[in-house]
Amino acid sequence: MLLITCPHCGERAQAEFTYERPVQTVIALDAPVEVAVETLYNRANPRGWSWELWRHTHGCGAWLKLHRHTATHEVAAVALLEAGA
Amino acid sequence: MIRLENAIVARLQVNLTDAEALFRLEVWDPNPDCRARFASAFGLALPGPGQSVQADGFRILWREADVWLLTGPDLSETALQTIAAECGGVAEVTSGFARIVLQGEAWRSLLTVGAVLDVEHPDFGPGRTAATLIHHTPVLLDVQDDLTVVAYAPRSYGHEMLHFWQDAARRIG
Amino acid sequence: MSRLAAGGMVRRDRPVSFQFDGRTYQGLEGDTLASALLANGVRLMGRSFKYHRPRGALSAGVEEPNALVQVGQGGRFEPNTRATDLYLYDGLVAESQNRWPGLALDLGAVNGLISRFIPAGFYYKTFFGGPKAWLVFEHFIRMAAGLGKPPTRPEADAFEHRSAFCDLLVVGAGPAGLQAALQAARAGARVILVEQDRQVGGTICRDPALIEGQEGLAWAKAAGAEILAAGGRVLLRTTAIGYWDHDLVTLVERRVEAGQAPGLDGLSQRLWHVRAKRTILATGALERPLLFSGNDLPQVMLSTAVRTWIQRFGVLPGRRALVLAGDDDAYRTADLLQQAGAGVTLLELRQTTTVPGQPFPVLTDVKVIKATGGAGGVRAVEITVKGQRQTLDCDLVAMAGGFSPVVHLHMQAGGALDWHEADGSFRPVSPRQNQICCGAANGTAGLAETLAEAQAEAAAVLLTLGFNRPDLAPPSVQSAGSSGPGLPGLPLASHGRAKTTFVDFQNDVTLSDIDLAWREGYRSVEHLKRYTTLGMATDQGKTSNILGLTQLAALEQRPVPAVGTTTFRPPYTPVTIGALAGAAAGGHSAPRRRMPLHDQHQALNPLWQPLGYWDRPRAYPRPGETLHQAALREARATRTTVGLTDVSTLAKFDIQGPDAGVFLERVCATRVRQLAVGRGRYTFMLREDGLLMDDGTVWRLAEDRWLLTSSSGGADRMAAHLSYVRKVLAPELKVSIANVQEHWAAVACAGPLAASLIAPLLIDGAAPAHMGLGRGVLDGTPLLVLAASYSGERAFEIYLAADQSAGLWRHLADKVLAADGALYGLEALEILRIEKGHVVVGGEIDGRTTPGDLGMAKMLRPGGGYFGAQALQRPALQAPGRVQLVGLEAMGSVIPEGSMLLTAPGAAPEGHVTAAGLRVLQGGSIALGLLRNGEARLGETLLACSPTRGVTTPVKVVSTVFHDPAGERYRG
Repeated sequence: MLLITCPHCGERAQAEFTYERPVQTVIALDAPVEVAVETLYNRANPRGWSWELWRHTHGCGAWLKLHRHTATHEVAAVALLEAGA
Repeated sequence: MIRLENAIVARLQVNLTDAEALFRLEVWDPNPDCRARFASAFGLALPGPGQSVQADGFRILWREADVWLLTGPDLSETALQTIAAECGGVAEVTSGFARIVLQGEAWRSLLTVGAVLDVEHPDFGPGRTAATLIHHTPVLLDVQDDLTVVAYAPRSYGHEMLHFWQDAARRIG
Repeated sequence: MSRLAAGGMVRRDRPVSFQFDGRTYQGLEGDTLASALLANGVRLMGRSFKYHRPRGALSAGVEEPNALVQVGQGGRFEPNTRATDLYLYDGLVAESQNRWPGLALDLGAVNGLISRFIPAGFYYKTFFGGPKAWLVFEHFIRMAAGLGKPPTRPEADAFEHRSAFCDLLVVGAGPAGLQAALQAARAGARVILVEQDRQVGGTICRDPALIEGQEGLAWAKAAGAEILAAGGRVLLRTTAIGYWDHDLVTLVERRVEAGQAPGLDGLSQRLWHVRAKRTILATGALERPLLFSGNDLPQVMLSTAVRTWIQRFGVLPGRRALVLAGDDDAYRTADLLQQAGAGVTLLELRQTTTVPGQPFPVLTDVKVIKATGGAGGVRAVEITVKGQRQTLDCDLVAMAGGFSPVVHLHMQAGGALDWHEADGSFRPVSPRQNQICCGAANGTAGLAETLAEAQAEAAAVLLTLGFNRPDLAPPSVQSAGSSGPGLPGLPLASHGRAKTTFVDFQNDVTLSDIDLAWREGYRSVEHLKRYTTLGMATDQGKTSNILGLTQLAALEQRPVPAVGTTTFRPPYTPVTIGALAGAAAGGHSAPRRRMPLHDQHQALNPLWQPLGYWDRPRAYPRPGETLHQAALREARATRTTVGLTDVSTLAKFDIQGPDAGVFLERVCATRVRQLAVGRGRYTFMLREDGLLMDDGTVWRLAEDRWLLTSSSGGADRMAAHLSYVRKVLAPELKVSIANVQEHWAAVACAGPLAASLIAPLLIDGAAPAHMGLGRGVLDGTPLLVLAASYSGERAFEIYLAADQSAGLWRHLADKVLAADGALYGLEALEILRIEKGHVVVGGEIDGRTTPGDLGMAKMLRPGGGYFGAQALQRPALQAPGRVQLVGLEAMGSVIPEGSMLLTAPGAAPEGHVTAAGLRVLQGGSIALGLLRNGEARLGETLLACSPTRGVTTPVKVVSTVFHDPAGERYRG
């Protein structure tokens, strides 16, 4: 179980969080159709460092960006998503 | 009405109590004037992450970024909405929670059971709040003094949480 | 008897009675089952897995492969317990396993006679005979397989999970662990020290020493006490079973022994989740057996085990001992045996000519050929000395085959290993997480060196954590005992028959099995394990892995590190499932959520239906009614007079702010913003791929205040979804979203009489018009009344604070029953909605359908801008030939739910039945279904085919709205 440092709550167990999605899979509401569909179905799946969105669901509910290594689970950075996290 | 149930154990009591009126305030306007408005209305600044404050007759608990819970018998949704005005929204959530009071010196031991939070850390004391997961239940902890913690679980989980904690409290002895 | 007159750490003043294989024996407090059996002269403790060879205890610890017993009874029963890791308690009842009718006479030993037909992997070869032959073999193989029997009664005792956090976790309370934990505790760090034994001391318990002038054990106890006094946690009888990500280590604490009734806390075991900033693994090293024919006989045991029996338990396991020296440590055993009064000869197996100054006879240049004996134990050993054959009588053989550092946790943490050719051991390197190995686990030999190393490592850890440097000098050591000639301990070749030279005692894997696997092409270490089963089962190869892969390396003619090791996996020692479940057993394995009106329902004794984590009333049958009869009665009452149902589990969100309407139009795919205050409408939400996700209603309570409702089952998902749209996709919006699912209870009152029951609750005395809302009050409790109909009758959902809901329920229930109506549950709800063609999440909204498929394309908001809008444009989601929602009328027998829709028998299915129901008032089987091009096929006859039920019945395609197509009833 990972230990994730939430910027609001400090070090917390992974059980309090939800892995949501890789950052590059976010589709803006006004994205053009081709971009939206492309993002939906074609994505990189790196064995290595990955920027991901996690949510501190059973904590403060904040949306976080994590830089995680998908093979070793090292977490290099955790930050609040920009505005309104 | 939620029934009152007691488990009296030498070092720890676990009670399910009636919830005092509980309101959720979400501030949607990042304008600093909004924060100032609340500070002047309540007589103190809204607490920061993981903190609680005792105002005159009610408590304010930090819940999320820009979200606080206010609890106290004399609060009302309309009064709070007037204060919030165009800065944020207020919704009553009183019935949405089971309010369980842990009273006694062994509350830290109890909160390590089925849990993942470091409640035994010396910094986790009065004035601190933490939302975490205990026995597959999301719980908000409000450490009120050295011997008292109020735990808020979603109402529907309250029955199970009460019995889980009463059982664990008996084992602590 | 084998109990020595004095010595040992057992309590001679506290005898303990226990049973083994039906006989009662006496042991002493502090004995393990194995030591007590040895003290009573019992040497035969098990029968091997495959060949049913007689076996005694090989070791004195958790690595024991042979002496496996089942202990306890009923709901307090553990099979496969190592007799060497089970402390006596009054009333202990243990039985040997894998033998019939008994240990001494085991008919399974016949397997030994046919052993050449059942080598490693033999059962794979039985597949070649074809399925019929295999089924014959399978019957016998299945009976013979397995060690021990599973429990047959539910677990009687409780288990608990706890979390703990520390600056330093120390695994192992031998000298290394104690010294490290002591330093950290003195420096004020948060320390947790765990030890699988019931006392601290580790190797000191079998090898006395003087530390700082004190008896080793006294030093150990004082260190443990000081750690406790400094606020540290010392957990005894606790094994670290796994090392996970980010320095999470799980521990299993035995609160009582296997099969023992719990103490006051009622706990059998406790599972700890420990998050440590740093971990020191002082887990020691395990001794290896030696390879010779007959090395599995009872009384052939590890050399350190002999010392443990004598020193720790005051038991002399034999009187005519041979010590086989594959390393220097053997000399300590020979010394101790002699001091205890046994006759002992040491056989030096390494390359040396003389070993001066030993108080016991030593033979050099020895090769061990075979040990002979029987169920009573070893009787003689055949050797060559300087090439000459000799046979030596004995009743005990101590094997000193070198030591393997216990690196399991280090490896689980992602560490790596370095092979040391000099002594044939793997040493831990490259930690990867915040773990460090110390002492024998790190290949360090000698007590003084171990203490110094622990001191240094603790100091380094404390510095990195920001604590002050501890004491500078490690404790001084004056230890006793013979030392050997100073030669390294190498894995040694075997000289006897390979077929009876055992490598893995637990799985009966011999040298010839390893040869066989290699000959058959299974040459990777992972294949070797799977083909031979070497390293599997309860001991996970603790005494066999290194020997096995050394053999493989020799066959491969490659160095050992090139052959590698198999993956180290938790748990380090077997764990009972109860410990992993903790409190989440039985009905508590998932959350149990209660509706606010649970007690009110319970008083009526309904049929409960688990739905997600909720329990909801399925129906309220009267005495003698079946579920179907009750549901039909309830549905009929709702259509003819009035019905009342609890819909409190619905998802509900209070959405406020100047941008609330804008936000709702991001989430919902229908129009929303132009709703007038006091009005509501049906709405639905898409997934990101354009398919339907959920549906519900939206109500405008005030200019900038809305209530959104959606399905009960999708409530948590909707909350997560709203959070995503709000915070990630549209963070600039001025909106607040409160999840009020639990705060509001909700009851629905539906039927021709509903309005007359509801009107008196409204402030203005009038029930709101369809899709309108009104405010009410009952005994001072505010009510929100929404005129929404799921049943198709004139209906109202009343929302109020859950704390006050019992009063409203009682009030309305009384009125409903007085009006000859009924309370209705989920079953009736389903019957009613099918008749109205209302779709439901999970049924028609099944993740494959679009709004167009369900006849709702016209409700889509032009201009898009809602979640999923883009993907909905994909040509495949708009193409002709998609399934569409239709109604189906039975033309023969009852339409089976889930049946496929075909044009003719054997044709390819063109759709399926999503929900089967009946016409509530007129009777007759009807259904909703999804049918290719359904909307263009009204009037067509199809076959509804359910192969699993053996039913095929004709149906007619009709409109989805069976009841009141004009919608006059719900408009009132």
